[in-house]
Amino acid sequence: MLELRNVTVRRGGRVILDRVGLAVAPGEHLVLTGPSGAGKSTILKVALLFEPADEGEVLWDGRTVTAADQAAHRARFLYIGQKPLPFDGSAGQYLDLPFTFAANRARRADRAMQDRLMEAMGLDPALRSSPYGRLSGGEQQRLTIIQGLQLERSFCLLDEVTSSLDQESLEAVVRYFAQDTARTVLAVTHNRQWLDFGFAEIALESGKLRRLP
Amino acid sequence: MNETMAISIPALILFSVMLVFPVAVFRHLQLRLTRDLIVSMLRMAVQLGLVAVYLEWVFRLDMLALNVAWVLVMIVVATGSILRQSGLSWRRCLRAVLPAHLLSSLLTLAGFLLVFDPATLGSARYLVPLMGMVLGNILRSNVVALDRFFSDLRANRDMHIQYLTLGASEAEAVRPFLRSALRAAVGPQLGTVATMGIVSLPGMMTGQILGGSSPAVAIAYQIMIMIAIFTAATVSAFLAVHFARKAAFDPFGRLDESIFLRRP
Repeated sequence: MLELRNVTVRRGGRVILDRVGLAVAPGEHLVLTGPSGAGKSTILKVALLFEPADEGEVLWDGRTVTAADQAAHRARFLYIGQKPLPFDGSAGQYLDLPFTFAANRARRADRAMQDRLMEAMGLDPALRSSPYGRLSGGEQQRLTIIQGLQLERSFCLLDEVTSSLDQESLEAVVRYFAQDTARTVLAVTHNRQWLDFGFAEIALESGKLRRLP
Repeated sequence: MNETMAISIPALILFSVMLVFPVAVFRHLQLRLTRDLIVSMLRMAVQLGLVAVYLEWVFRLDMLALNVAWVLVMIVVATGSILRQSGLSWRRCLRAVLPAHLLSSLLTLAGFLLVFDPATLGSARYLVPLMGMVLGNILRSNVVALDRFFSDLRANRDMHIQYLTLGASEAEAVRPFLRSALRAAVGPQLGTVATMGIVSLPGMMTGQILGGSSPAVAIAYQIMIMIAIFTAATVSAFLAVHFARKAAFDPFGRLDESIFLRRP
């Protein structure tokens, strides 16, 4: 279970997060909403220890996470950022990328799983041989989601992952996460359609978090 | 060997009248570079004048220790210039860039020993100009490599975060940035190598021919120095970025902004 306790983040004299407390229970499906620049992405980055909190702490299962256990802590999460990232190589190589890292060498890319995920996200598995750089932003974004999903991390931190998607692929992606009850999901979004798929809403306003009924 | 015709100082001053043309271009385009031009030219004249005095002594005494000391001075000055041009903090990055230069210089010197015997290489007439050319040329590639590495890293922070959460080690997570930095730093040099002699008549060769060497001798030197420059540029750019990476991240794997003089 992930918990942020009394987290305060100040940037350039401005308080972005003001003693924020957040506990996400396993299996919960949440969307984090709020105006642009309110600090929604910052919450995800604080949870992953990529953004230092000026005060407060990040806990996992009740224990404070420190620099010493950052690698193990980050390995619990699937994190996907808001824009597709650059990559030289084919879409297939992009999907296989996590397995080239020493930490994941014990596992191998599973083609059947990749094909299944591509179909679930509305992508043609034949896309695998196309150069990643030539694909559309929406296709790259869905490949990035699939790339992370292969690692079977139990907690998804999604930062505006549907902003570059058309209506059809947006629904495919949201539906996938909605149906995946084994995973915990915390998704930052401006798009209220996530709520139609059963996600509960937390709103961030003026540095304070509020769970909406 | 024929002595090269000396250029007298009055002749040099007369020649500097040429600069009215760039000044005219600046005026015409309202570029406001005239002041910079005058300052830069004067700086060059003063620096080269001082170096000439110093080199007269280095050449006259021609002691190995003094020659090596001069090369070390060049390495330190080149390092300082790289840090300044890349906007990196001296305090944080000196220990990254200086060892990169020392190691690549040692490698270059070892390479020169395949061609020259140690006594020849150690003499001021060979050591100082050869190492001067190598160091002068690797400066640019180091600045480009460091600049590209850190600007890409700052612009694609999400990519770095994503790689780290996917399980990449710190070294694996910066590999794409290291790759593009090296490509930017040494790629254009390969282009220069490929067009050498056709598009550009290289400085060293020109100097030797003016100094009275036969073109055949001058070409052999030019080929050797191009290999030395390219090798040293690649190795030092790689090492500089590699060492700088170690200084650039905090224990959480986050880019530490205090290594930059200018904040974003």
